[in-house]
Amino acid sequence: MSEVIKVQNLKKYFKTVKGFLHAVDDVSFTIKEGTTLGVVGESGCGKSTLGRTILKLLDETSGSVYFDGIDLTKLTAEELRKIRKEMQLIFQDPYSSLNPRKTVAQIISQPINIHFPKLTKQEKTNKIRKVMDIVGLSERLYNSYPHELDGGRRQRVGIARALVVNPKFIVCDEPVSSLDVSIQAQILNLLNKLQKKYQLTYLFITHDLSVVKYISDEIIVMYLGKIIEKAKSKELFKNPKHPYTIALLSAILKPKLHLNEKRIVLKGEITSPINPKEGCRFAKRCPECFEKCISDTPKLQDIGDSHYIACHLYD
Amino acid sequence: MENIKKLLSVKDLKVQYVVDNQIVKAVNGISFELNEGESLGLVGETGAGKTTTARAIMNVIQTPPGEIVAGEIIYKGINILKSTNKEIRKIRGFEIALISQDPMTSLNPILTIGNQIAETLKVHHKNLTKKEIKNRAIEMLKLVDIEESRYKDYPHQFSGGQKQRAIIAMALSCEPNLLIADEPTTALDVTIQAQVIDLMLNLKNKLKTSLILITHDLGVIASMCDKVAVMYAGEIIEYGAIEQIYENTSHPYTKGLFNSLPDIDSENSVLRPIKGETPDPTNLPSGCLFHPRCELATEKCAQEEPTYLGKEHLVKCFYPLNEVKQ
Repeated sequence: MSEVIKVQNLKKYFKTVKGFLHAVDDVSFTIKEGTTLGVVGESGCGKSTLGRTILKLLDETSGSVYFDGIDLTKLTAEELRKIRKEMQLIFQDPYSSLNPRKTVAQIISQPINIHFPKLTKQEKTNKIRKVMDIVGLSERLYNSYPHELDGGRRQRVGIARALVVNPKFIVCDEPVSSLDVSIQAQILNLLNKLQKKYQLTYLFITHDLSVVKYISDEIIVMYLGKIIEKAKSKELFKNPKHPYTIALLSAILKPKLHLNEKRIVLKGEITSPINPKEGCRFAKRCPECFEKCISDTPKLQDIGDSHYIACHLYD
Repeated sequence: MENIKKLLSVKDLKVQYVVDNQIVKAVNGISFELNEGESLGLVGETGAGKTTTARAIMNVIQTPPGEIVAGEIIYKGINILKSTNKEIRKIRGFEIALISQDPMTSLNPILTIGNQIAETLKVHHKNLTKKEIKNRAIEMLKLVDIEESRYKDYPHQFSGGQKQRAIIAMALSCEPNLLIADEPTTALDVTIQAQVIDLMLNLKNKLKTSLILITHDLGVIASMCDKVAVMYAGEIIEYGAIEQIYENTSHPYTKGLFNSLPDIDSENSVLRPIKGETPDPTNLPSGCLFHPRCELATEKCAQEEPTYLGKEHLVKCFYPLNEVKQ
């Protein structure tokens, strides 16, 4: 399997009044064709910024992003536009990511108009009908407006819009977090089915650990812009190493009785990502924190079995 | 054993809204009871009528467009729906407090956190001096692990978890007997959610508050509640002790909810979602409201409305999945 996405030392800083906000700070990983990389972390850890920087919707501060071996950071605007067809985005909120004044067909046709302007009207209509069928939208919704649809169907429109230009790589930014559980399961199953059928590669961003386990082959855990742990999905859940990952996993409330008693409750909240000091960014909340954690920034290192961790406990 | 006292009973409550000349049937005849010190979980998806139920108990449904069509809500022997405004004001806040869903929007952005807590105390304890009110407000902040120095800070200076804790402090400041929490942790990150749930459990044990917890999250219910009512399209379709609901799940819809959740402990879990979507509340299906989505539905389900089976563990279904004690 070839690498579809390769991210190297990617940094994205935002300039603020108080200094630089390190949203994504020196992140590297690869995603193989037809697999899913899950990105988990709490609000403000930089997971959405990461997704957007990879798609070049935001300009990186430094580092590079390779798509099929091509360095996206070195392309001109024109070259980038051509390659964008291969890389699509599914948004979190199906209520605000669809234009309320356009019909379902018009929404889905927009990427076609941009990337396949030479198609005839009939060809376009066929393409739209086909993709609506693939994502499970019935034909009668062709001329409906977003407000006439419920959350699940809206999210299907969002997926159809991403899929209609036959992309290779899709960034899914919390695609199920605003949906009810029964609908959430339908959408997750749909995304899985599409991946198998078209060999799609996903970067799946979420804060929901049970969802990320279900959908991902590999998972990275982010904390304040840094990757703190990276492992195969099963390995991460069976064998979490970083104190933050352990706490995160223990905080999941399972829908079963008598299982939720032994939670590790972390003190405090995420600290400011503006001009972070040397040292581990999790140190302030970490139950295992010692001197070195305050003075040195831990590096992401291989501890075997493609399990990576950034923590001084494993130096 | 202590003498168990009935605190709240809701009988055959029906609430509807009139929007654009269409009748939205939000709550369609629900009944449940809550004893002192108990916690009840109301679970269901968007549009199941959970929040409307909470607002009816507080008697804060705006008319129009809302209307309580039938039913009674008895709190400590008083029918809330028939009380005068003056009577209800003594209950609201004093006796029953509501924590609403979104911590980001339920605080006033131009008042300090301290002042907002003090405001509640001022309304309900007219005989306290300014100093006493302030001290009490600070005490409440400390109870939810917020330092005294934050008294003069504004909501935007608080993080999401802190805001939610401040709202809990506000709701508990008059020591209510019953706390209604509407999705108190939905907008929060997992580690912060764990903090808020621990805090609520501690306070519940310390202050002996009864609780109605509204959520769509079966994990939150499992860690906090004694009883569960599963709502679907404005009806309670399964009701009982938490062990009954979780380990002897009997309604196909409840089972479907559990099956829709990825199982974090299993190696290869398969999601079996419920097909279709929740019905349109302006145009509810005939017979059993769940029958268009139910895999076990027969002709009978489409025509007749099922009655409740069982005594302690109630199931509104013709074909319950498990034996229900009569």
